[in-house]
Amino acid sequence: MRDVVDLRTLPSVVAEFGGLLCTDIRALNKMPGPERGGRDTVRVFWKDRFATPPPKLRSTLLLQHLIAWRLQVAAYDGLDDTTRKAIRRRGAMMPEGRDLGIGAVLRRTWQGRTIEVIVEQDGFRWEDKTYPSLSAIARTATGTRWNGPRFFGLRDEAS
Amino acid sequence: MERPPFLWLARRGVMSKSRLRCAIYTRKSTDEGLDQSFNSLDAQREACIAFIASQKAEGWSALAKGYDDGGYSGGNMERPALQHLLADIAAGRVNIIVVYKIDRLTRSLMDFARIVEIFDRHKVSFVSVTQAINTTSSLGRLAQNELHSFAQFEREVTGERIRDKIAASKKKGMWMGGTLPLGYDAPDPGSRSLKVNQEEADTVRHIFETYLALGSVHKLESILYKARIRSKRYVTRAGKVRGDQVFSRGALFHLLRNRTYLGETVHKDKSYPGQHTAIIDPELFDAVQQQLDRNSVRRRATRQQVARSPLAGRIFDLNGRSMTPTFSYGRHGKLYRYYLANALKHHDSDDATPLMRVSAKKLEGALSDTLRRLFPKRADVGLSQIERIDVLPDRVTLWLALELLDQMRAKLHPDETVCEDAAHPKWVRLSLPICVGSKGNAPLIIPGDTPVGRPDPVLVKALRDAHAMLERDCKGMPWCETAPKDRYRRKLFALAFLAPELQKAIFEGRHIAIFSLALLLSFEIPLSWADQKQLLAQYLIE
Repeated sequence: MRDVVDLRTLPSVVAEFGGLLCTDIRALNKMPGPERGGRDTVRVFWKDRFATPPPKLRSTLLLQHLIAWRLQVAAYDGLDDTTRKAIRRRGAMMPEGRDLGIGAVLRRTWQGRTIEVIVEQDGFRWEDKTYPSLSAIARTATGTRWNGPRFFGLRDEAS
Repeated sequence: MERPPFLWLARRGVMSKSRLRCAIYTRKSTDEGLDQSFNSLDAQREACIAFIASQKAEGWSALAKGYDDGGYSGGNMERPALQHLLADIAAGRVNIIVVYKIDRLTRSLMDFARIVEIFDRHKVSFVSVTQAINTTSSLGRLAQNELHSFAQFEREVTGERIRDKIAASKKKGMWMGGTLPLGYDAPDPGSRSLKVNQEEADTVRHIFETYLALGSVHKLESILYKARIRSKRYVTRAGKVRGDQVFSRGALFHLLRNRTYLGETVHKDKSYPGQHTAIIDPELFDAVQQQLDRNSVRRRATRQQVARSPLAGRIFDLNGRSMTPTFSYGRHGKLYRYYLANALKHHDSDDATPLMRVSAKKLEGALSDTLRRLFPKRADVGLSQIERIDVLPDRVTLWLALELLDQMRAKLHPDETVCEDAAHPKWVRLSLPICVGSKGNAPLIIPGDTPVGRPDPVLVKALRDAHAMLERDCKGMPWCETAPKDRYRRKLFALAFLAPELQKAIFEGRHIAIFSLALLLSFEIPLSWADQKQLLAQYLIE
């Protein structure tokens, strides 16, 4: 058995030991299943690697996933901030209307005025200002709360 | 004739010695069971001629012309021979009318009174061969009226008997005639049970099932219209073609409520087991009845607030169709009134003309303002003075009385025009630039040229759920004490360990359309990120 290396404290070193890590993960893959006492082997592996007691988890596969994640995060870096925020957020990933593609134009006449919106990378542009959603534009333009996608005709009105 | 009948002659100056022309009236109804023996037209006539011959000494002579009503009821006066007779009486060609029995002339007390009145007016006498009727005495009149009361009674009893017979037959489940329901054909001659028409029966089942699925007779109506399903076509005994019409909502309600389809015979509000075969299962029928009951509108007896739309009936859309007043309640019960175009169209609703809705308050306000400006001294000129309004996308045309033309002319704005119409000389047409229609509001959408990823909401949610199952230890590393209980969630859990690049791609929607959660879960997620990427590379877009 090799010496225990605390990988989290030494990310630069770990990068150099990439090959070594891959071997570790291959070893995990080849690890026998729980019916042949595999769970204990994996727990021993955890203790060896991380110098902390493993979780009281009974699923060998999950334990393997947890170990694999820790090893690979140390080697290649984990989730970036954007993705982490996306995980924590609720609701749709993309405001409705964005799927029309960048540069799409939404035009609607409202009480004699023409409201024209252009879809951009970071939102919707109307009269030199960028808004996060179509609803925001509809509200600013009309002074009333509107369902933006509906206001701009994205919802199928015919029942 | 063993007994000489009572006569009422001579009273009105009919000279006994002069020649008296006797008209013989005979009648026989179709109902053979009703009349007793000796009732054929010839037999009646024979008896009358014999009687006239016996009075030959008095100068009676039978007219060669016979007044014979074969197959007519005595219940009314719609009989050709009787009408003919009355005409001849009016022309003075007859002195005496001879009938076999009084009920030959009429069975209705009212009609008898009228006939006697006509006889009186034309000084015509009236003799019944077998009955001693003398209308000159009070006793004779009593006997006569009594006789007619019984005749009328008999007639009513006959009607009751027929009604009872129909009720009894329907209780036995027989088809007693009437409009044939869709799905059945008329019984064979001699039979009294409806025959199932398989093709129509399928249509009926289709209608029931469609209604159950749609839950709306209104929608059912337009679907049947588009599918060209029409009502039962049948030929009447007179040879006229009936039915084969577009189903109206009322007809559909009747069809969906018709217990005949359960194999029952309906009489008034009761139904009995019928002799014909059912074409709708009781379960389906009951489900449809329940849905109809649920959907029926129960109107409260309280007085409802009525939205008044002063232009109703006089406002027309672009196509000249009447616009319907409608209203809806906004937040806090605020009333919004509209005039709606095309609201009355059911069938051709796939017409390209969009539904146009005009705010009633806005339109009426704009019109009132304009009228006040044009006629400042005329308080009486208001919305009620407008004969007709046509709402165009950018203008409104009013019809106003011709007498108002001179007063308004000076006050018109340049974009307001007024013109006379030769076809309608009483009115002038005033065109105003009032834009209330929402026709120009149809939004325009031009897609962009740079496509963006479309995150699959199902995948995004699955990934978020997977992470929600994961705990973190004190150093922020993934941690888990107990695995999820069910298999599906354990499977889902593995998604939290997907390589960061793969998770990012899912959140950004950088994958091809067929990449779905089901597809992702069908794989065993490898531990190594490199293996994962290799497995899923074909679904990702760089």
